[in-house]
Amino acid sequence: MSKLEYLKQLEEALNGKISAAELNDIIRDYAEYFEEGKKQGKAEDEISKNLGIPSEVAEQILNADKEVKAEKTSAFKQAAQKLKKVWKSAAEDSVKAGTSAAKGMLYIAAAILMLPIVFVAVLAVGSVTISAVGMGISSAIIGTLAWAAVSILGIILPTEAVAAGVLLGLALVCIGVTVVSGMLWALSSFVRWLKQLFSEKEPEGCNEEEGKGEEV
Amino acid sequence: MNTQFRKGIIEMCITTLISRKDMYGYEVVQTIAVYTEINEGTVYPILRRLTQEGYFRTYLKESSSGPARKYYSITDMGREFLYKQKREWADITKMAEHILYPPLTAEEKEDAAHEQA
Repeated sequence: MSKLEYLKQLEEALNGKISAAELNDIIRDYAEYFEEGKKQGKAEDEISKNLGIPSEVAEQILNADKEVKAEKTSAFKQAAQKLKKVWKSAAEDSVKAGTSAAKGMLYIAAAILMLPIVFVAVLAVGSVTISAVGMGISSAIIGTLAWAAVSILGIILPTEAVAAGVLLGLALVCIGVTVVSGMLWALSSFVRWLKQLFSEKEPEGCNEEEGKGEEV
Repeated sequence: MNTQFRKGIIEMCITTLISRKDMYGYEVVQTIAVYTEINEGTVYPILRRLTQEGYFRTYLKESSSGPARKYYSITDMGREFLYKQKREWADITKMAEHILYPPLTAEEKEDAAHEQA
């Protein structure tokens, strides 16, 4: 294969897979190689043969680029994995040691993280409970008072009005109870989710791709 | 031989050559080719990769005849890399030598002496 033919094939194999600037640089390198070989009295054909098939050389160039890129991205990946490993080993230690300090620290950390959420949840549940109970009690009192007014003062109130008052009170209590239980359920499932998060297993299959075979 | 293993050793040798003096591609290839059969086209990808890693820097130098030569010169990072590689190499070859060709035990030495006598 002539120098021109070789460089053309190499260029075709790399075209579109790397930037134009890199492509020019690579072609320049191989052209230089041919010239140096010719200076030593070698034929273009011989130099082509010693270089190897252009498509294979192109593949090796692309693989080498991939390796460099993989190493660069894996710097981030490695940092993330290291962090995960530290956390995981802390979690594992805590499981193994049972009542060890690691477990305590883990729970303290979790508690600190969860404190504001729990505070808000308790506040919400508490206020709804209080208002529901308050509404129920006040409706009952109003109903009772109305009934008392009827019997003592002899004011004739329609019995339907009294019944409506009591029923309203009961209905409010029911709504309150429903809302409170709903909130408690949401809180407990949130806590369960958090617990699951803490005991989550690290996903498998993070192994780095082992080197591909390359004839050197 | 495991090609990955071979590639690693050739990388170390190329880095060593360039740490001694700036060299251009053809020179590197021919030096390596003296010792081992090699697809000459595979040396450039190695030179390129090590340059991208920051182990070499390159510069063009006009040649008296023909096109300019691209010279490779080692960086501080490259020297550090080489130092580490050589230490690992010393470790691994020591291990291999001791396991593959263990030194004779006292008994074996005695036997050998008897045989000679």
